[in-house]
Amino acid sequence: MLESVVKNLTIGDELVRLTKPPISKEQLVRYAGASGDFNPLHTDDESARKAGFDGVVAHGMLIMGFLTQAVTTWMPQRFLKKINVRFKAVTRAGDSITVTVTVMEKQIVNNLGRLVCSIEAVDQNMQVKASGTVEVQIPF
Amino acid sequence: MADRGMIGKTFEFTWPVERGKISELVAAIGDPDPIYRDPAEARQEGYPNIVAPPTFSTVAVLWTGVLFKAFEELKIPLNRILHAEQSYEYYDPILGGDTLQGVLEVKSITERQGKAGTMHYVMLETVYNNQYDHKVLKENMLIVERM
Repeated sequence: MLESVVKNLTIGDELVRLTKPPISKEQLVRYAGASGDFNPLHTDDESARKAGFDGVVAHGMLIMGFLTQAVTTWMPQRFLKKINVRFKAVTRAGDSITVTVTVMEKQIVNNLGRLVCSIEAVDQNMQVKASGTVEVQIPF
Repeated sequence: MADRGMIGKTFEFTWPVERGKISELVAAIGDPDPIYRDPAEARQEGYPNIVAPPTFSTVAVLWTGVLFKAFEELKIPLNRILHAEQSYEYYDPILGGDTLQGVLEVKSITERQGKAGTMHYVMLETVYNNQYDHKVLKENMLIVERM
């Protein structure tokens, strides 16, 4: 199934569009506990304001989690080979992130479909929070 | 300020891949995929056990304290750190019940002039082997120290 999908792909095709619900403060507490990053920027409004933000901000790694989640909604995780991401702008509690994955390169060699895709996370105002590239290899 | 003498310094650590920790992470991200929670579902997808999600390895460098130890020895205050870039190379799945053996290395420290002044970019690379001495993942974390 995936084989015929990959064979029919062209450069510029959007593989995934995943919109996450707005990030809640509870989610940031959960992410702090899960990840071990207890920087108060993410859980204490007062600390965040002292650092120059309007309120708590999301861990960059939470956005990274959204990016990889988007990729694995499209194909089994074991086909994900590489991902490189640059964090561009801070994400705040209340922001709703949309991740898109778009085909940039496609090669089919020896029953292996290799795709290099651009990946991007934007908020509800289309501000780019993070972007980069993803490489996947799909065996046929 | 980032200590250039630290380039090449390594930090070794081990980390058990626990089912509960995986559940916590995917619940925080909001990823409902059952391969992270249900061994039967994971087996149906071709994995021997539940799978650790793609950003799970980074939990290890934080929870073991290795990352913070590196920042301390690099003499970078935590409140001046920005996470600029993150990348992963995946070689083999990381499964519930595995034990990760990690080596974090300070790969490079470079200086760039930005609008706000001098910025130190520190590249930290961590390579993970599992309990079979099999290389499973490499991650690179680019940290900016705002001066």
